[in-house]
Amino acid sequence: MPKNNFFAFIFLLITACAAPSDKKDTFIPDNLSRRDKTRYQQYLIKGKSLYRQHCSNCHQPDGRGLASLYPPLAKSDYLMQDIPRATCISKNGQEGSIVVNNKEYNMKMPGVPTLTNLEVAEIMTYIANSWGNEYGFISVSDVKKNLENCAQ
Amino acid sequence: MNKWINLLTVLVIISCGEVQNKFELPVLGRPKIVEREVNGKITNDTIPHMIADFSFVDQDSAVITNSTFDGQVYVADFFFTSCPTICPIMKKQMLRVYEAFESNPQVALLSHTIDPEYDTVALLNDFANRLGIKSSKWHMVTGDKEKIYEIGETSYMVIADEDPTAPGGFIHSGAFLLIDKERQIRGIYDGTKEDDVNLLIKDISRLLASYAEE
Repeated sequence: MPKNNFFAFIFLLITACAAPSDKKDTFIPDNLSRRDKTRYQQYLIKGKSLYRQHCSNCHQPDGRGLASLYPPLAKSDYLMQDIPRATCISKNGQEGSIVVNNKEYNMKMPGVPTLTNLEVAEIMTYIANSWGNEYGFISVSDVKKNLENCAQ
Repeated sequence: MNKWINLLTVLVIISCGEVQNKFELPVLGRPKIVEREVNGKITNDTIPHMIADFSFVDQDSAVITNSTFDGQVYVADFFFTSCPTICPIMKKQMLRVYEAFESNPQVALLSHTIDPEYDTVALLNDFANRLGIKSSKWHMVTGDKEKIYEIGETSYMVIADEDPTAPGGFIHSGAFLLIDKERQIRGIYDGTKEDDVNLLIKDISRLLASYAEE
């Protein structure tokens, strides 16, 4: 049986030190045109990398936040009930007390004013459709409209 | 052939495991050499690097000095609450250290704010409460800004300074420092890396074990 042993060894080599991979937990809506479907996939990928760069230090890579300091985005009522508001916050930041999933949070969030509308759309599409969130595609024109109506 | 494969398999398993050697942690820092006169003769004394005297105020307005940590080893770091970059990661990792030694009275944590103007006692108190930590174990201290920067640079050997161009307005190191009961630095770890903090948690146990042997 040396051959079997050999394959077993190769298998062991491959799996031995590998870290567990990310769970696939992204929502894919089925009502998108073919063009938007491609865009949507691109936004998710770009959005994830922008999220890791600008957001996940506090909100964590799994979107769960940290203790009572940083609110969760995963299954967050505050995020999902008002996407336009969240769009404004992602770019302009936020100050003061808010309630997320019945828990109070009060840390100042700095905005990322350098983000372009496309980048905001990518981040928003990613966070609104990851970790159990199911919103659907958020386009650049959605973002443009939402940012024009931000409360000052 | 079979033998070799089995041997290799064992090697792979061993190489992925953790090395659990017992060894003494080094004493870090440059020792000071001081001249001393004994019976008319000049001799050189070597004084190991030690954390200088300090006095800061923690989130409960309690005065925290070196003697707060008598009989304890502690982990020190530098941060500020409004920091958007590495501090949240550091706090998440420090929270792991906190949880690992929550019930061990021989271990304490000391976080210095480098933005004492914004991070008042009241703000640190709120921050600590939101993090869900006990002040008896994890002191978040504020104080005279110059004193905090000075002890950071000269005692803990980390960088802390204002820098208007950095996000949040300050630059600082993400290091965690392990300080023993003799006020000496026994390890420096990157507080933004999970692996490094795993090592810190192990090193704390090693350090405590070395006291137990005495």
